[in-house]
Amino acid sequence: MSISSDQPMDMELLGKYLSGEASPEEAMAIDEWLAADPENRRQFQEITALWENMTPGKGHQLPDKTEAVQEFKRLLTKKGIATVHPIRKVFPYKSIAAGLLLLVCATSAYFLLYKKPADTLISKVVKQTNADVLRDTLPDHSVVVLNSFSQLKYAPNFNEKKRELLLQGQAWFDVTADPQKPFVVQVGDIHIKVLGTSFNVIQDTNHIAVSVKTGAILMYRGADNITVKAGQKGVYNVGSQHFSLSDAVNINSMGYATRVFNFENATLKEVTTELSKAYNVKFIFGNQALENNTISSSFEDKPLEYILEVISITLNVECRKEQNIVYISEMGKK
Amino acid sequence: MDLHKAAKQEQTHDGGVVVQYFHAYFEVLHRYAYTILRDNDEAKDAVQAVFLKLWEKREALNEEQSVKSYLYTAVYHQCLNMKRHQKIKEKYVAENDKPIYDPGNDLISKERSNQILREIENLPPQCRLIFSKSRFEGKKYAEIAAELSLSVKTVEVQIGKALRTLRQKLLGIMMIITSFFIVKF
Repeated sequence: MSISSDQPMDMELLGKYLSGEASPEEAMAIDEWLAADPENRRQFQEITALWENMTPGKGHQLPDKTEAVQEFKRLLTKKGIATVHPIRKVFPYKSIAAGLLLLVCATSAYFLLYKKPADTLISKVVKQTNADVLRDTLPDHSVVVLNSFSQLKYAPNFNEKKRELLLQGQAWFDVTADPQKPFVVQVGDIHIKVLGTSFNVIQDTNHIAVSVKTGAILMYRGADNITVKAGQKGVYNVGSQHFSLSDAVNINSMGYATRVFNFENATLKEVTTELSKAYNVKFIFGNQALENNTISSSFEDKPLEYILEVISITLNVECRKEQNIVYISEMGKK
Repeated sequence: MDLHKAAKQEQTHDGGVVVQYFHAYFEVLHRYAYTILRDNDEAKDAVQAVFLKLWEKREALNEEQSVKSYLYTAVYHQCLNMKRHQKIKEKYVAENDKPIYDPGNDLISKERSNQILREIENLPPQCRLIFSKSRFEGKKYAEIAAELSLSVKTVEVQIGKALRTLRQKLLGIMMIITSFFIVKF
């Protein structure tokens, strides 16, 4: 079916289309006719305006296309991961010996300001998260856990000769050891090279901080570099472009991947924010004041039920879990 | 549009080819889905669902023309399915939970829509009846035809006639409406 482009508008067909009665072929014919001539489009808009103005409501509004494309890509990424790679069910925190651990955290605000130099890396494979956390296996069998609002890119030939990744946001890596092919993560304008270790990188607008749990890593920018060992934190100042060393490792910052937490005087709000990512659940408070209760406790890869029980007993609250939602209410109140 | 060739070359497992089709067809498919669902968000969901299905079949994609008909047909069926579910839902959910105030109304002067309604009143009786059943009661052509013991073709013709008449009568105010409409297009 087709309507020639200079033909006057076929009102019957248009009526069918606007009434939601058009068959796929008829809809195609309308769209072809519309694309053929701007005048056709103008007439179509006239009739559509007339049609929509008969009843209240906004009528047809095309959603923001760029946003829709981004949203669709995220859906694809989720699906891609589900079908292309097997997902490890339990995060193998205890079996780190087999590989190396690397946790990279970065606030995305930094990247909004930063022009990505690393696109020289010709990144093709893109993994992206929205509010969710994504667990995936890379082609070299390294495991990546991508935190919320983060993006990871790598070339399709990753692991052929080298292992290079470009990260925006936060991610955890459980890296398979391979001395022939160094594992290098680019974050902002610096690189992190795995030397045989487990470590954690946190980035904000002004700093990129790498906390090392075991072993050592190399942070470098051009010839400038710093080696960070177990128990240390290497800090890169984005403004002055200098590296420095300090102590203190924040275990909770990698909790979403490791499920290892050490809360000290943390509010229930903070605790549940971390837990919701690590265990993929939502928390709903029966009473907002509950969010401000504080708790000090540490958990090492414990089942969620165990943690909820500790919280219940410590704070005298009730935790009820229904599917992916945990309801927290005062004892005795529902 | 030799989209297919270009898209095919870029095929990787991040869905390159499908994303390009999404770019090319999002607008037309969304508008089509909207005519059936009468809801912009649901129309978006429908189009996205169809493209996710297309992605699963990406290995089997051949030339663009067949992809195009596939997309229109899939959107059509997806929308009908969603409508069916919607009907079941409505049985359980109380009606009239839609907000009465609609910001979209602000932009249409009451006078203008009254003018349109007056012209609808002036249509020949059968034409007006059929048009109102379709436009205001949301009835399907087939339902209207059955109710009035007419053929579906007659319904099509009468609605076409109504639109043609209204357009002629309202030519003056159409200019104003269109200029408003282009802004939101």
